Amino acid sequence: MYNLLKNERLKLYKKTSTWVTLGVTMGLTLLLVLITSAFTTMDFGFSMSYEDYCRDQVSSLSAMLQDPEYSEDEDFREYYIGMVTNYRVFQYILDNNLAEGDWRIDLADTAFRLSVEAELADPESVGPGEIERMLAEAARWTHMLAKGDWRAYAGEMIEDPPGENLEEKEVYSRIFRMYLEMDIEPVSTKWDYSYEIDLNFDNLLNPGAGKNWKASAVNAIGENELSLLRGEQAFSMSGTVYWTGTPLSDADRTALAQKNRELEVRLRQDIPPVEINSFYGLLETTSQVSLLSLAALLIAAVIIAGEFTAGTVKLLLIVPHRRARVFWAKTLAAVEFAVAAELVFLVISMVICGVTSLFAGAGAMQVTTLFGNTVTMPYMLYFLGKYLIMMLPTLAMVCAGVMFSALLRSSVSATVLSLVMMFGGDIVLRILMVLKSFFGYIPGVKFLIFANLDLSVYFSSPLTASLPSELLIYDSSMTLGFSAAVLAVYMAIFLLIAHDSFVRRDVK
Amino acid sequence: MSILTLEHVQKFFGSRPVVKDLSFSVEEGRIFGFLGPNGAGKTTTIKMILGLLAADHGQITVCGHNVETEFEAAMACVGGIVENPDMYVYLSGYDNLKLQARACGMPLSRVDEVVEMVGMQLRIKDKFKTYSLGMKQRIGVAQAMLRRPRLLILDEPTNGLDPAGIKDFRDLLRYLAKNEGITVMVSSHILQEMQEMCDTVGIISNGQLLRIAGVDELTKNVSGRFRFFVRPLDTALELIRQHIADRIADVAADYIELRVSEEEVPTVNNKLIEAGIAIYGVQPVAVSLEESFIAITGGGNVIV
Ligand SMILES: Nc1ncnc2c1ncn2[C@@H]1O[C@H](COP(=O)(O)OP(=O)(O)OP(=O)(O)O)[C@@H](O)[C@H]1O
Ligand SMILES: [Mg+2]
Repeated sequence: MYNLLKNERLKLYKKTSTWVTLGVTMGLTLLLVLITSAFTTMDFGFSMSYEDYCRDQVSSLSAMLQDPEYSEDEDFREYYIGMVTNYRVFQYILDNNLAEGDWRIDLADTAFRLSVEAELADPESVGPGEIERMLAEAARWTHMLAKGDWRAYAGEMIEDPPGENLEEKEVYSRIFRMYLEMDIEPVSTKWDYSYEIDLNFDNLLNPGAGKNWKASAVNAIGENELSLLRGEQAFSMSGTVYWTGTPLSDADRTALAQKNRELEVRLRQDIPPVEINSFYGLLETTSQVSLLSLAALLIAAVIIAGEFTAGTVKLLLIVPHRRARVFWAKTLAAVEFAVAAELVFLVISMVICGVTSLFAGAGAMQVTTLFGNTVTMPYMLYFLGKYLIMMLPTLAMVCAGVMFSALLRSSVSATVLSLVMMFGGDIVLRILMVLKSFFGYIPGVKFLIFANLDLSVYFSSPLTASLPSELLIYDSSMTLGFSAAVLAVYMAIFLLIAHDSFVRRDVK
Repeated sequence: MSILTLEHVQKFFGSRPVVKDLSFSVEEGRIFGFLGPNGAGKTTTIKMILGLLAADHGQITVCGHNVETEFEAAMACVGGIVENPDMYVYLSGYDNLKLQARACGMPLSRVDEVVEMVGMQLRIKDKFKTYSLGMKQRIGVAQAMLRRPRLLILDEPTNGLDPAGIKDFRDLLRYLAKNEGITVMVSSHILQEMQEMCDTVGIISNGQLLRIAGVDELTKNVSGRFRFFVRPLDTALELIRQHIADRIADVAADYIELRVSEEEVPTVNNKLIEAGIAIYGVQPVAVSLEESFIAITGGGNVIV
């Protein structure tokens, strides 16, 4: 049996087309890796400074405030209040030279909004003493702003938290208590125009966001708790949380609770998420662009069919070995090739990412959930484990290729059908996703192989309430374990069919 | 002892019978010719013997092993080429043989032995695709010989070879049969070479075995013609025309060919001598296997 495997290796590795297929896909992939890592690490100087951004806002807002259409029309009242508030906030940022994400921006927004509302209120329509009450409140916040002490601010927020009901107020108090207890200066998520502060981080942070990660983590915990409380999916953009009206599924609840446990462990053990331009950030990004499964599929598609096309099958099958052994030798060779190609690619991309990132953050840790337990491990270990699991879809493709190869017995047809499956499957899944949003969920789709080929969704979602899992996974009840099991069953079926066809059918 | 036995073997392609109730056996040490026109079922039969096709009915045993139930043991003692000597064209002849040696569990030293046996030492490191047809056939035979088979099955091995190539090939087979003591089964529709190469010939047509016999037996007696080398030819011809005109088969410049039995030869001789005709010699006409073959298969060229 081992001799047969050695034979298959010799045939595979001495064939020019093997190296051409591998060379083209590996070359393209490495090119993508280089481009991706270059774009992620280089600063192209396109982005504006925060100060310039605020100056821009001030001048365009002041122009709009001159417009009587906004200031006098009752229909635009709310909008007008917002504009005036923003104008004053930006002016305040410029006057006090605040950095992006400074906690005072939130506070300024609250204080200025109250005073603007009071100034513009119609004394006739509001209750007696209401305007005075609003002004007093505004003065209280403005005083707080002048004091510039975030601890005092947090204390105030614990006493008098926002929130629509008691439970929500409780969530906000808890968040500010966390700030105090952990001595974390809060961040503002307003006007984070350069997305530096990403409330909804998962593993990867945008460059520079690392310095605020703790505050972002606390905010994310709060957002997730609110979502759990309301039982509704939310997504947030530029610091504003939008409620989608979609109820949380059980899977979403589990994921949110899990995410919060992970964030708390991070905070407690001081494990920052990796930044996208660090060593692991680049590795994570580049390992998504690999085309190697295509090479593995193409090789598998001809490993049996090629013998029929060349007529060499007559030599192959008159040796003193049962056909089943020949079949397994071939399948093993195809699997081995796929795994070897992926591992070689891993090593090469580690070198590339290491050089471009100068191995920044190579000793990072990761917090993740394994079989329901929140665990801390070196990021390297996490990445390698993930990389191995992500080979599963490639191996499923290899098994499909072997099946087409054995059934069709023609290199051309097997190759064409494999390609149709690889690219067509993706299209079918997209169509199903679109159909789902119009006509509702179709049961059983989660058992299709196409719905289970992209395992990366399980490693990046659901992140927080901000990213409904439905956008990535067909059926929110699907988990990594489920997809792995479905793929394993498909692989077994593919190989059984291939084996049966190869062993039984006549060689005409 | 018979090394290959087929008993009531049948094969259908779809509903069409291609091999119909075929039974024969080949004795050890023979060179057996498997003769038949195009589409007769030669390749189909050979593929069944080598386990590439499963017989729909009947049994095939090689060296006492049933091909279906004891495949590995059966294949260990039979080597062969089916149709063209297709090999991995991107590999060298040597690598091709190495593959086969490993698959058959033979040491690599055996590769050198068979290369020498077929006289391919000088070109063995070249890519298979650079070989001429004759070289490919040689590598094919080498491949079949690797496992030290007791039975060698060659399907139309001389296809596409020139006369010199065919002669070389024939010598090679003779050498193998003699020096390695191997039983050979060769299929062909080129009859003349069978006659010169084989001991026994089986004739198959339309999926049925028509006759199996020794080459001598097939060619003997069939003609029933003798050539009389006589002078003067004209006088002799006139005499013969008067008496047995219907027996004349052919007239050439120096002989007259007559359809007579062996017993009749002295009578004809006496008559000619009596008439004062000089006889330089009397020669029996050897019949070719071809004539015998056409006589047996009915001579139709229509492929059924
Ligand atoms: N793959 C196939 N599918 C269907 N019928 C086939 C197939 N291969 C061969 N046949 C048929 O089987 C019959 C026997 O074919 P086979 O190849 O055994 O003949 P052969 O004696 O080897 O002829 P040749 O001298 O031309 O090589 C023919 O009628 C042929 O048409
Ligand atoms: Mg044939």
